Amino acid sequence: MLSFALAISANVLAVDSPAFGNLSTPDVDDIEYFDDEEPSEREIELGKMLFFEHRLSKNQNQSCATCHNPELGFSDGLAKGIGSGGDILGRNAPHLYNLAWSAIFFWDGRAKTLEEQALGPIVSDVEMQMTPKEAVGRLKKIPFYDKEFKEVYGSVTFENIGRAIAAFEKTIISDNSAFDQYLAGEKQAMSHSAIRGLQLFVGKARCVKCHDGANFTDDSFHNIGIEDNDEGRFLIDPNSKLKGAFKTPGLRNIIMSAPYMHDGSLASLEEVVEHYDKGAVNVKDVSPLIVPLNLNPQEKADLIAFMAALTDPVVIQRPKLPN
Amino acid sequence: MKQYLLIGMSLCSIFSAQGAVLTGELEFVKKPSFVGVVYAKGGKGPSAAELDQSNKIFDKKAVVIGKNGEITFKNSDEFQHNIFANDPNSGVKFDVGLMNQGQTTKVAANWSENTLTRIGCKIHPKMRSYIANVNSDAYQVLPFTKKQKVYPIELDVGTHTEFVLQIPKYDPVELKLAKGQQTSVDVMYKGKKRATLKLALN
Repeated sequence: MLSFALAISANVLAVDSPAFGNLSTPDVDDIEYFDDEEPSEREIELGKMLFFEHRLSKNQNQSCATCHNPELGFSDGLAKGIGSGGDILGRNAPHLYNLAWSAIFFWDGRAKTLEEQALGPIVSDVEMQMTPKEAVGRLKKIPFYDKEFKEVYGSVTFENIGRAIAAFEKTIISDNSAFDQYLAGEKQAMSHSAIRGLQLFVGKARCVKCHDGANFTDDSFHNIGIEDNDEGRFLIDPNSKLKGAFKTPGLRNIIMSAPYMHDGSLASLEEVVEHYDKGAVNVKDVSPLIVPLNLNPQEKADLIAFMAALTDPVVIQRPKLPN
Repeated sequence: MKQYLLIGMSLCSIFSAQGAVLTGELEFVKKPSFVGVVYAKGGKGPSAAELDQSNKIFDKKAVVIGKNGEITFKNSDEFQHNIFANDPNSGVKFDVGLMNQGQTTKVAANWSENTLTRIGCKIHPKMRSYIANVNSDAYQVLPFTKKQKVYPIELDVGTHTEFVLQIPKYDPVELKLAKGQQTSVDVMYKGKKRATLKLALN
């Protein structure tokens, strides 16, 4: 009887139901490329090598892929990462899925383009600890890179390093999850629990207030009630009044990139759902969007099942780096 | 009878002199840009324009306003918004501050004419629209979509003979047409052809 009821419930949600709001499958036609030019295969391949290039860190022991490890959901499995010199970093390493559609970057939105973002960790004092001059100098000494940069861009420059890495990162696309198949009309693609989770996601649980759009992010900043004295967006734009607010992370493949939140303080999606269920009552500067949800245990499980239905791993073959 | 014919010819001539229509199309080579504005040079431009926000988007991709006109920004959304401009291309900067649902605020467009200024929301960086500040009474906003490459243009331009096409970041196109004349020009961005603009004045 229960399974019959669940089956009915699964079928009452029309695939193109407006109840889904803006949730959708991302459209590659909506990607905005540098200078409106889609990167060439050669540029993407160059960017991929640089993404894995440990010589872009001071001690030649780290690359972008250290904190954004493809095998760890393009994160690192740590609450807070470790820099080239052994320092513990300030925030959790976010995943990189579907950043091609993003409009602002870093937890605090301090970079306006992925090209700019890609260069940030290379010259960060605590991350890869390079200077632009050192980074360019190292690559110029490697004949393969010197030649490739000349062929693709005309020369090795710091800006072109960012362009190449961003060109690669924009290919990290996840768009065929069970949810996408469900949206496309495959009603069996998601479990009954995940379908109920979807209803909760856009309804009672209010997740879609921030995690909306094709990539489950509004690209906006919200104080969600994590108390760690990090002022987040406010440090970048004091006029914004967004104290303690951080960028809404996209949720595609989110089950692969634990731990969660900007400080990595929540170890599992279960803890995340518990956090939102409680509603961060009486937390200073918390967004008015965060309120107690009164979810029951089944509803919490359904939400997690729905987030798991957003999984479509992106497998990356690590490149052989040039001598 | 002869008199009626003369009056008729004369009316036709006046009508034809005052009622020219600019027609044509803009065809993109690849993916279209975000929005374009085509207009005839001359006139005052609108003294008022309105731009609303709902579902985390602006309701128009561009609004047209004349010099010293006033733009009314509305927030019909359930979310707070904060409209701002900081556009190095037009030199326009303003920040209307936080707007709650139902709130309205006005901004005087007292900056340079013939500019296209990008505006956004500080809270929702994906939101964007443009303010076209033009001294023109004959204009057409072309809201582009990614799937459509060709956009028709039809504009009553009166006696005007100078026309402008502005697309954000692209080189502006300015041209003169005599009545009965047609032309085709390349629309460029960073030295590369991005579209073809075909116009005829009749």
